[in-house]
Amino acid sequence: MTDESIVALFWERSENAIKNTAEKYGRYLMKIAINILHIHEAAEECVNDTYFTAWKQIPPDCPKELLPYLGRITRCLALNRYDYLTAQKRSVDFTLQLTELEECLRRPDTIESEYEYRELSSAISAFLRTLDAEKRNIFIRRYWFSDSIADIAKRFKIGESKVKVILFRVRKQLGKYLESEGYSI
Amino acid sequence: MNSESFYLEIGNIDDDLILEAATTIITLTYQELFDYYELEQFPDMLSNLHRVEVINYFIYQDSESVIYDTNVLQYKSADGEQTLSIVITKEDSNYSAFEEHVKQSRIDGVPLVLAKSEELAEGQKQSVYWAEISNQEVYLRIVSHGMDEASFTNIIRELIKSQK
Repeated sequence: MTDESIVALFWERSENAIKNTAEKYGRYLMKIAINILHIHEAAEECVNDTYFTAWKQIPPDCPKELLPYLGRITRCLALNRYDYLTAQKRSVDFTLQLTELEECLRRPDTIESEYEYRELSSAISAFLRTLDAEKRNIFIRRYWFSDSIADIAKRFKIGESKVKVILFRVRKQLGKYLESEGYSI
Repeated sequence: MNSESFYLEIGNIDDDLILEAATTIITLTYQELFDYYELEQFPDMLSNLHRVEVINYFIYQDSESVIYDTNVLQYKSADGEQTLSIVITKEDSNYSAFEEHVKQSRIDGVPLVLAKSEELAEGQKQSVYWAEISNQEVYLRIVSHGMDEASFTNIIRELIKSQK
């Protein structure tokens, strides 16, 4: 079923909207939630909450592509749950991902206004478009889908050390790029 | 900004970038293509038509399974007047393009679906023949332009023979 048809079901308030969403994207969303939380039950709840949130938001939302739309919801919900977990229960790999991202930040502990963040994701997109496809996709797999280094290495048929080197360089480049664009984050 | 806020900002990157990263494109050589479909390689010549060389073929895969695997092999005559496309896929059939003009047939004992339609080429009406052969796992959809029915049938026969 196409995304357009599924979104139409949401607009019609048909329960098949959730059934079809789960069939098409359940596996993707579960993978993202598991990558962040590493606890199956919590990930499952997170995915169910994603469907519920989509049900509440569509309409008025009318997403053209459901995968990024739903994935963003899952990421936010999983991150909220991650915050509530004790340090012992937190996913070591996801904690590592957040630590890695600090390398892009000049002032990781400061709080800025929403105004200062404006267009930041557009700047990140613009930066990613300057990279070759492999580097770009490795970065997105790591920091959007939250894949482990091992999963990325397997997916791109390269060694784990190469993945780490690519990510390290891209993070550095991204930090410099954002600085050059006037972001003091 | 802290790393969690930054992680959420990354979440808002453009949709097309996310979709690109959600899919892995696997490049296959001609030999690997046939290994993937578990078919014998097709002849380089089918009747008077030669295969048009293509360097690579592609399948698209998400994290666990192949999501799109349609590839097209092209054949054409030396003068380019006759062409044949062979679409190979593991995706199920869809006859809707031909609707009621589809008929079930059999060539050398192999069941197949045949269809014929007309098209305009340089102001002249020309027949387009179409066939689908399947072994339940792989579907071959063959379309000819500039050919008569007998030539088309002969080519189908050659293709079937190449798989025996």
